Amino acid sequence: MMPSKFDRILEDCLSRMDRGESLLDILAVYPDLADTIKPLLMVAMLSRAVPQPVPGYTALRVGKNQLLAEMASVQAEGGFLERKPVAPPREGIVDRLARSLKQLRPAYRFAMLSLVVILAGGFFTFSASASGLADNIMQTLFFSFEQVGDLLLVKPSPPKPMGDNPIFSSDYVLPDSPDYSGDFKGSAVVGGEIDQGREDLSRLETRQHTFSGKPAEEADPVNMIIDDEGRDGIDGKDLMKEEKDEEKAAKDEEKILKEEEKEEEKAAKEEQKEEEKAAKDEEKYKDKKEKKDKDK
Amino acid sequence: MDINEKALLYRAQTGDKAAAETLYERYYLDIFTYLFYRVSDKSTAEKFSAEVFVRMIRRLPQFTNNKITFLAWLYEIARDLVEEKHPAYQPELITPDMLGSDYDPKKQSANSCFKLAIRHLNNQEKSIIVHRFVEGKSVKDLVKITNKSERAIQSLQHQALKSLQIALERETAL
Repeated sequence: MMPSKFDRILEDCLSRMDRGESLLDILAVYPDLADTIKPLLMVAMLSRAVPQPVPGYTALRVGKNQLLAEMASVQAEGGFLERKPVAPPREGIVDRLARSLKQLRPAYRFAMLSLVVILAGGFFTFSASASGLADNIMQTLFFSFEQVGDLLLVKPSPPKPMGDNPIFSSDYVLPDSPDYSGDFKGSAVVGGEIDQGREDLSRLETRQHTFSGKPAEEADPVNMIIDDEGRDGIDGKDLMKEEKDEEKAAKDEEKILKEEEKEEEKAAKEEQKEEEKAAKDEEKYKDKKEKKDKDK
Repeated sequence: MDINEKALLYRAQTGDKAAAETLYERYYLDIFTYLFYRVSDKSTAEKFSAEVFVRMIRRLPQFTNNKITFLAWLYEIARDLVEEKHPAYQPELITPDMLGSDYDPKKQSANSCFKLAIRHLNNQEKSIIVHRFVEGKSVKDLVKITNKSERAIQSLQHQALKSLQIALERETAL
């Protein structure tokens, strides 16, 4: 048997002995080890039966007096620690608020409590809306701003009216009405790509708005952006700039290509000319040789 | 260490006499019993016990309870004192006055044998036997006092009982 296992068994037997179990009962639990355990338990029992030594009363008193005398000498030397004054418990924010509330007049107190209730209500409404629209951060923010505005009783500024100007531009917000009819010129950007086939549409229909009317040729072109979910927005000027830039870049590329072609043609022509010259020189040289041979 | 003992220690460390007296009364018997079985002499044990508490007062401001318990610290002082004053202590034969005031003549032979046999044990075994069986402390208490693991204590206890058994057999044979 492993010594550690035997140690644990011995400890178990000693604990049982402490609980008042008889020696025979304890040995019956471990019959295989009874011969080994028994003498050890007997020694333990004998040790427990030994009376504890009792110190004399005089010795106790003398010892205490010696201790007190030593304390006095250490105290005189300044060897003990200095007792730190106990700091009063710090007042928390809640306690301070409660104290200041108590000092207020009842009317002000009521007003303060109402304000706290309103703010707490607003917070919980905001968190509820945020959890409801967890996927869209912009929507959540929009709702939260709206609710804060409502809480503060400040109406948001009304959108700029479309007026008589039928052209959509980024300066204008979308009309409140989902349907709009008038003159316009635009194109649709669906899923991030410009749908060229829908440029200058007489009718632009999205999930949120419907624009119908005649396309105005003189009007500046404005683009309707329709995202993958079918929601719309206007980003005319920027998109037009991008388009123009792309066109310019394409034209520049064409110019560069043409110039390169011209240079290649020139180089080819020069090579031909040089070859022709070399051929002529050779012919001349041959003719001269033939003439000299004939003369000889 | 409970809060009361911590407060008591702090008070004693700052020079509170009442707190120091309480500590003395609380731990005197433990120290005396330990010393009695180390030196096997009542009057020497009493003298050493008083000295342990005098040393305790001197060292008390430096005591921090991060490493060991207060009682374990007192035992350390007592052990150092015995080793310092009695480096090769060889007790004489046990006499009745060494066995305490509640000495029972009927149990004389068993007690005498025990007191004689325990002298043959080494200091570690002696401490284990005294703390665990004479004073009746648990293994968990011994873990705190000796700063050893529970398994190590169990092993030491086994070894100490075995040594005492051999020593007792030798004493009774004599």
